[in-house]
Amino acid sequence: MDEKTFLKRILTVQDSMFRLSKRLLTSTEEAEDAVQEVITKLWANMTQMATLSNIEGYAMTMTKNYCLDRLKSKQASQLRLVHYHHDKATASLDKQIDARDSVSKLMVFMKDLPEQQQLVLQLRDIEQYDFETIAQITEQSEGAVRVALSRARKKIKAQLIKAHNHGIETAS
Amino acid sequence: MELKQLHKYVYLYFEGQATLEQETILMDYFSQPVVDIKLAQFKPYFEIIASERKQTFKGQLPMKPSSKNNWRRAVAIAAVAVFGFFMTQRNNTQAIQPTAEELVFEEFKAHMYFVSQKLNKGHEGLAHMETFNQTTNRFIKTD
Repeated sequence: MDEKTFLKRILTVQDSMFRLSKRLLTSTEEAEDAVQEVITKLWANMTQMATLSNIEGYAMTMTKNYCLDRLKSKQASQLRLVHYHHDKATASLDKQIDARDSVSKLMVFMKDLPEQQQLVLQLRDIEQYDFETIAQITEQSEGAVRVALSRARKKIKAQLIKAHNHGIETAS
Repeated sequence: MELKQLHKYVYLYFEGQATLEQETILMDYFSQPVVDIKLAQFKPYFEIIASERKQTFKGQLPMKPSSKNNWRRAVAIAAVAVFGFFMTQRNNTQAIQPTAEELVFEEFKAHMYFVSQKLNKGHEGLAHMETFNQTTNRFIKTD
């Protein structure tokens, strides 16, 4: 595969790679770095890519793995862990200032969902992939993907209803 | 679309059972400024999705010269080196085998050198004559 073809195919998926990275890593700068890193790796594996029919799916899988590795190394570092909580505290302060903004409250809630649920939500709701593609990217079975999506959306629904009822949870 | 149908799609959506087509219909519906009062509570989530979909990668693509380009570069350098070598060789060959004009010039130069040598001999003779005249003048006073 030559450089031109590679760039053409990467252009179709680079925004999805960025959004997925941002969902998992939170910061825009870190997400951009992640995309650049993954594209460099893909470029280095060009000969292997020439035989792949679904380069876009492969790029998304690499992005997901890279971001999860970054998160693991972050959690392994005590200093970064403290920093991470500091960021969360700031976000929480923003949330308190703008308590009536249901959109920002929901976004904070979504960031607290388990990693796999965030990943599936991102790939389905933002990127609009079918279950087969999501299973391929997340390296899980389609059944597991459906379960994760269902659980994540149910949690979001409960949160939306709670916010609508001004924080009062109803038995629905 | 019928409101009852939309309620059904919303239910399926939050159960994780809606199809991509049904999800697209819901996205279109919730993009409207005003929605059904019973569905309004779900609008913030669809607004988040719409806003997240607009995010794009603004970083630079970290493209490095490929191995193919390195190979091309190496070939270009080799070609220049070979060309330079042949040009040097050609110049050397030309120095060993002078052209007809150069041969004529070299022959002319040799002749001129010969003439110059003969003239120098004559000049030396004239110098002797001058010394002889000076000595003669010392003995023979003309005044």
